[in-house]
Amino acid sequence: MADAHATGAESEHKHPNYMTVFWWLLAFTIIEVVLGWCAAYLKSWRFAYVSTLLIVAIIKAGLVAAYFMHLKMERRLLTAIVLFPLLLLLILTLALLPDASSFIWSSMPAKK
Amino acid sequence: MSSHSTAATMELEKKLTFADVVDWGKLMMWLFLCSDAMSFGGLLAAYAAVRYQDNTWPNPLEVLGINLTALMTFILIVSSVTMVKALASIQNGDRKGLCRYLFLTVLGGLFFLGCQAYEWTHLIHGGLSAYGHAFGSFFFILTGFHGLHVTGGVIYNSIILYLGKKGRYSANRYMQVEIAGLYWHFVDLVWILIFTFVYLIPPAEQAVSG
Repeated sequence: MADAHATGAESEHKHPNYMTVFWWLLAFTIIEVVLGWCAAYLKSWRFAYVSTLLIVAIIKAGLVAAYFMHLKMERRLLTAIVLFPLLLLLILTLALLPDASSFIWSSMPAKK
Repeated sequence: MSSHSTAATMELEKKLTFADVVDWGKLMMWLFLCSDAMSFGGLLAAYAAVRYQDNTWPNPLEVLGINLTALMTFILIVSSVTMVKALASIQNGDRKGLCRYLFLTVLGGLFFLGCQAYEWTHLIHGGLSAYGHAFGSFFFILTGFHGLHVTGGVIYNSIILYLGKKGRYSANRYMQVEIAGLYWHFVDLVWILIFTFVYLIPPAEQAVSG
């Protein structure tokens, strides 16, 4: 990403080109929306469709975190601190999967 | 931080702790955001588990529609850009730019909330309920919890805007703006995930066609 130097006396604030990041976010959003519109035709490619959406979502989230939240410009330890809960969340999601069985519950509320 | 350094002081200053290299307020906001991510993550993990095993799940692409949501996503991304431009402005000492971009960010948030309210009204009138099928429950809880965060962010940014107008911030004093920005970008980030998981993923092929 191109670095735009601040015009202040102290060029401490080298910040990324925010507009470049915006265009990438816009491009990825358009990809997601177009995929969504075509979802009905992509039924036999469900795995590819969902995987693509997940990857695009993670990239978008990563761009926002790295450049808008300036994580990339901070100490690496801060990035490690931030990534740790995400690892826990992944474990949580996987840990819940054994409970994902229609024998245990239904999605309808219990009858009164 | 002392502006005069004797040799002894310089020795002491070499023993920096983590709190000295990352602003304390910024670190604390990041920790809060991590805990908030766990809250959203818990909801999303539950959503995944319930949805994964349910073959009666309706198709969100048909029930919810994505056109308005795509606009909402776009507006939130734009508001993140205006927020980061507000910070860049005050880092350059540009107070007018700070206030202008913060105002636009607040506007973006309000527009998002308006769209959310409109969408909810439309869906509720169409019969979607938080008390029926789990699809409805998860939809309203996830988007509602997020919407509450947006509301909080709009209030938060409005306060920063007010303080900005009063002249509190400058090129040497902008950390509160940066911290508010962290919260707002987090709200945008969570929406990116909710948009993907709630609106865009159709159910798996049913065993029985229909």
